[in-house]
Amino acid sequence: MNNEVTSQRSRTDGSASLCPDVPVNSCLVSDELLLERWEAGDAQAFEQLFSRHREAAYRVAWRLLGNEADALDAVQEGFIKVLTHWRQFRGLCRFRTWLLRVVCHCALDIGRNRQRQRRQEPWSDVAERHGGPPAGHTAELEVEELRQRLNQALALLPERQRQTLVLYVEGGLTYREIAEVTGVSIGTVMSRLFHARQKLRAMLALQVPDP
Amino acid sequence: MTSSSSSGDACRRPWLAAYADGQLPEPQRQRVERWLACHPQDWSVVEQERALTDTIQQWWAATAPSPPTAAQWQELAQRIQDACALTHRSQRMAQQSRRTSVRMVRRALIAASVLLIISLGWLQPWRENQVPGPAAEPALAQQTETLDPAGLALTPSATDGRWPVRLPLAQDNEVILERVPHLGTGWLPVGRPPCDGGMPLLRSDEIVVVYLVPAAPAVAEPLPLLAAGEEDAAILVVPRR
Repeated sequence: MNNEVTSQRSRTDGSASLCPDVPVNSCLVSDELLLERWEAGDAQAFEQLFSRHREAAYRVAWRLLGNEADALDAVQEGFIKVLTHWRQFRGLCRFRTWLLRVVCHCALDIGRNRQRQRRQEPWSDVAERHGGPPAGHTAELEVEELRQRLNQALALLPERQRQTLVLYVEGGLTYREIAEVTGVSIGTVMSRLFHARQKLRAMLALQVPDP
Repeated sequence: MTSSSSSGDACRRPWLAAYADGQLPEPQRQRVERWLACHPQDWSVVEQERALTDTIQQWWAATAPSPPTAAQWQELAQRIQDACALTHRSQRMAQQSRRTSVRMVRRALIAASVLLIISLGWLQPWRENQVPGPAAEPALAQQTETLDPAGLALTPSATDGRWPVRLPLAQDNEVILERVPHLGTGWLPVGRPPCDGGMPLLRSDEIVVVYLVPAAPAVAEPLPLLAAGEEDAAILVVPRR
């Protein structure tokens, strides 16, 4: 048995690891500096900041909402909130951590609203919107089915566990960062994450390979 | 971490999962490692948790959403910038209106203070009159003066040649004039018996002037009679110079 347990991911505070989808040299400028520049009227600073974090924000929102349109709405709302109130959080945590937390909250709000709306709309409309898997190749259909199963399983998780799991797996935040942005202890994060994964395993009947 | 009862197991597993994630702070990590050194059978739990995390990660990666198109991102960026600009504008306007309100309140306070100070200064003589303090000016003694008709300096009107009317109306030996303290050269006419009390002040249009015709040319021109509108009003006959 291997007694050396290593981290599953490399999580550092270095900016280079935060923006895999933009050129390295653009990551050399800190988020805070970009925010300062943006506030001074530099539109390019916003572009840089946005392209640095939009993917992660979108993925987190998508995992919580399960569709593109709502996820984009959550990203938009999250960015607006963060950019208009960024002076209030400065120094408390990294920009990315705060952004993902806000996007997460926005996504959960949007999800709650959608749920309320769906409860009120007739079944025919719901059936029309979720009218079965899209036509295409078998592999695509399999992925789509997998995606739907995962989304359904995620939707059944308690909100806090879902938020914690998405922030960890999709947002790439550490236990400590999740604890900071959700205002709980690391122990609570640990517990929520553990239970979320166990439930997911049970709901998806995941075949976990024997070590 | 507790011994291997079922509740202990439930408590232990999250710790082992966190250890598998490599997310425990140093003291807790050392505790778990000490535990694992004593309970090597729990390494299987660690490996299970790690395998579960790997599986979830794989599912996660396989079902990752396709990212929005460049045009969608562009549109989103534009909407965010527009909304932020709008918010900043409204924040600035709110700040300005807040500043204006503060300025107005400050001005109102200053004006109120000035008014208060002026009112206090104005009331000061009255207060001194009511309650004379040690430093207050002593009340003026009543001054009685006989009306000097010469001092009235009456002259006939240039238009109709009639005499103007001066108030108060009474016989000159029936009125005393009292200076009112703190009213400069003002006088308060007070009647003597039988016209006791304050003399009414009338306007010239409330008075009828009766000119008497002398009985004979040798007789000196009589004084005009002044009659006020009210019967019991005192009449002051002003002798001509």
